[in-house]
Amino acid sequence: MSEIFRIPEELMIIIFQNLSKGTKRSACQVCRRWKNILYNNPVLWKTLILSNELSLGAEKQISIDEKRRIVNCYPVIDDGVNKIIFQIFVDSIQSRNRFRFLQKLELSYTNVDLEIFCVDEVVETLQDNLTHLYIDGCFNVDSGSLHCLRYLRRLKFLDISHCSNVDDFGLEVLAKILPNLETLNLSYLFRLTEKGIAKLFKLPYLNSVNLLGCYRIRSYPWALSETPQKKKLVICPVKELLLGEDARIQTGGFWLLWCCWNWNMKSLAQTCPFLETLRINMVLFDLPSDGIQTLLSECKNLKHLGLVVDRNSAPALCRNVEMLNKLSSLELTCHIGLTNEQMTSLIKSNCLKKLSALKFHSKHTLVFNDKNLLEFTTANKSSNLEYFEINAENINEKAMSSIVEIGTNIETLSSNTLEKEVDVKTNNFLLPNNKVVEKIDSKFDLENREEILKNSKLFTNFVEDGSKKKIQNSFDIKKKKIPKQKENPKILQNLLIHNASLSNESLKKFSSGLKNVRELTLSNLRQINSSNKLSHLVKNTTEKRILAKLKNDSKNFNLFDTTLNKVVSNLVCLNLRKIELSSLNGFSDKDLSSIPENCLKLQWIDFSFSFTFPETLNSITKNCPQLLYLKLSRYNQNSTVSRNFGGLVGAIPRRNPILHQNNAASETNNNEMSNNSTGVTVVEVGTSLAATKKKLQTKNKEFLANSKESRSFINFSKNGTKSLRMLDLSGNLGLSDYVLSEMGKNIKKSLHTLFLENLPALTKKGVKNFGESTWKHLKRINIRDCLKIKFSCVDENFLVKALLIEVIVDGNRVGISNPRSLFVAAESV
Amino acid sequence: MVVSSKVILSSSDAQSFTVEKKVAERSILLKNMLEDIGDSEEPIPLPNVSGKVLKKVIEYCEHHKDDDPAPAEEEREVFDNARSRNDEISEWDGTFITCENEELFEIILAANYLDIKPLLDLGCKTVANMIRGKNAEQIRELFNIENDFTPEEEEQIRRENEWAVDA
Repeated sequence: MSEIFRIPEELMIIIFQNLSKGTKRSACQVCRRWKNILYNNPVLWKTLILSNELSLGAEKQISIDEKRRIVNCYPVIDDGVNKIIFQIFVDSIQSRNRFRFLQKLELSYTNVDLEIFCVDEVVETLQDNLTHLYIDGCFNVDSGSLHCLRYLRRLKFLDISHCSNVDDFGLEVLAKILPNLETLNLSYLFRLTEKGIAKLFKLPYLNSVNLLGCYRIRSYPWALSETPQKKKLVICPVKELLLGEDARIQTGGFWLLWCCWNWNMKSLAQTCPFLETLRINMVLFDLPSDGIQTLLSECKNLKHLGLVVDRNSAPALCRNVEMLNKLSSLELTCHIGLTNEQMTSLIKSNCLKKLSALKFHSKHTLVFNDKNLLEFTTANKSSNLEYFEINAENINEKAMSSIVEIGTNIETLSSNTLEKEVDVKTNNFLLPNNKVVEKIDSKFDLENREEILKNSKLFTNFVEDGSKKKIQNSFDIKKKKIPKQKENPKILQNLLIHNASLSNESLKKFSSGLKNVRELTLSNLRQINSSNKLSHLVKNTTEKRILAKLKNDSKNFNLFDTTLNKVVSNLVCLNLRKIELSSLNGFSDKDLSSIPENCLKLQWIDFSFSFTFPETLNSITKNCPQLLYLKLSRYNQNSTVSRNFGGLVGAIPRRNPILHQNNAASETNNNEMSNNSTGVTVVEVGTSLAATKKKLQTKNKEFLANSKESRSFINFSKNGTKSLRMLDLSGNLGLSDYVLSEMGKNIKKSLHTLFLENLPALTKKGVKNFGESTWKHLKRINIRDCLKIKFSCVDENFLVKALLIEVIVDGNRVGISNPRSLFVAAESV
Repeated sequence: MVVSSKVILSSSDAQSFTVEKKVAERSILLKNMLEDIGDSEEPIPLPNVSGKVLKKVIEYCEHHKDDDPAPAEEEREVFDNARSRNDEISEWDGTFITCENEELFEIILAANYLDIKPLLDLGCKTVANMIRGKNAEQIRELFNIENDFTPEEEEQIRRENEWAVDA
């Protein structure tokens, strides 16, 4: 008998709790004893994740109508997650019983049909325990179908972000059927208006609302200067409010700020007295000068604040230093108008002490110089900073190294906390909240809350249910009492530096100092001299040698061997997931190719340089199996105009790289979103550059099919596209019709979006071949400034109607609004 | 501060170990026992633990004698989400726990008996790490387990778990 059978069931459960679902599946298949332990213990199955994991959204989904039309030739899109849910919950009692205690169900980015939540077996299994449901990005979800969730009365957490079909009516439905909702993620629901969010007042326990990217909302009912029902005191119990737009997903292009002219801090403080987190990112208010003061002094529980700093609000921030420093975290987005002097005064007034993120609305708002950057970094040596963007012209060596020190400092401190001799003071300083304060705060908050709830008309119905509420409150306290010691202190994770030149020394410092950084952007980097190499960013010879060795005997490499594990986790840049590097000229392909070699977890690569990338691409193919997004862009060396530099040229609107919503991309490209009433202003520049580019293109050299560029592309498509979702190629990279056709044949199934820009050699033939081989999963092709690509209406018809690929040429969607192609379509049917 | 007194532990094969009280108190079982009986010169018998394993356990407790007491059970995460768990094993622990399967299981059983939660967690995590990413056949090989399913059962289980694929 196996030794492991000596371990009793209750200990096996602890072991199994540490397993991922894939390994649990294997464990079920090992032997009867294991299977019985796994199947009979629903505690092991509290979470069920059926999401389309690693999705960037925007996969090809075929609507039911489309499917019917092409039923015979379209067997590829299967029933997906619906069939799986049936298998788990309906087909077998044994399997269903496992999930008796299921609390969290994740179905993000799938084709789930909410009707399954009305099937008896599913209702029976889920209704008593399910509290968390994720159906974000599911294209079948619309307002009406949300009614199917009516049996899941226990639901506390619901994520329906990016379900672009949900509108105000959907919120009305939710408010009616799910009274226990506490957290609601409604981000990127483009159809929501203020009428819809007014319904949220009906949810008595609502804690947190996320409305990022709901750009149709022009005013917010909780911050109206004149409340419609003036007699009633309306209280909204929310603790967390997120509005506006996240600057983080704006890489590549930007939208203007959301503007909200009807916003009153005083009524916000009255309506939402429990507010702890308020993020009004990228929202510009017509605030009176005391607006910030009112907010800070009246929202007593406020701990996290996100704001836009513009010319007008900067002095107001300086005036409220004391209150700002009482917050746990402060997130600032710099508006275009902010000046260098204002940044200096913000730093000098010491009000950035709690800064956790500094973002910019535009890369070209140069607010930093050597002096104030140095001041900033000395004042924030052991800061909260997690996300740091630096916009500056020619930062000198000293200031640059000081940035790295922020990272290094925190890194060392955080590793210190693992050891026992850690100085208590430092420890407390790093933790966002002193435990004791936290405890008192929460108590105060609850007493207060009870008081206000009793007085409020809205809650009269729920006072009867007082016992339940008390239980919940005591639960709240209990939760808060837990010292959050395990929570890591804040560590710099995102670093963005624009327009700087970095010496080899600074680059090396980066490599040693920023091991925890997950996202690194160095844009418009300038090469100081020819010995200035990017590879210094990842250079560390000893570790590199060990890594090479590990790779060699990767077959014998056992993850269990913790010493090896340790070595790997110490590797430079190992945690880097996203890297964006760009430089107008200088550096070399060989130099760049060393970066993927050392960043094995890279998922997002964006390189823009003046050379072609054969070696880099080969290196990516070899070293980055998890790659989701690849952008390679070649600047023309002679060109002085380039899209990412120089004022508004950077403002090409087509990129909203995380294409979560199914239609948003095409909508954007279709310029439907440029209806100015929504506040989205689209700046078109691409075409104006076309003329300049045309001249330059004539000088471009042609690449042969056996050139190393062509071979690297084909090799990449064969071996490096296992999980690739988006491919973006621009400039004269060596992409020809032949290469693109070959790539289409080899590329793996996950790719759904292809951007082609300024590719001089490419004609429609390559694009058509590519579409023909990848149409099952390819959703859209976006072409810009490719002068040789001219589609006839037959080609358009072929791509759009037969292959169901959206084609966007220079910002216009083809084959849809063109009456001629419709005519041809009718004829061909 | 009082100089910490010594405690004598006696294993199943009658080996005796003298340890600091503070070290012994990493074990909740011993801690409660010591509270009940007070200071005593008598060796405490541990009939379920062999000398070899006890030595190992004491080594662990020695190293961790100054740690904070383990957090209580309720504070565990609500969801059994393996991804969000802290899978990190510190370097010392990693080296400590690297041993033969049989010894590893003995340590887990001893940690359970002596009620030393961090050590139990470490052991269970280690076993989980050994299983992680392997298929059923590899796991059977690893622990020398016999496949006792009928082909029909196997097919049924396969079907019921088709959904569970790691990304």
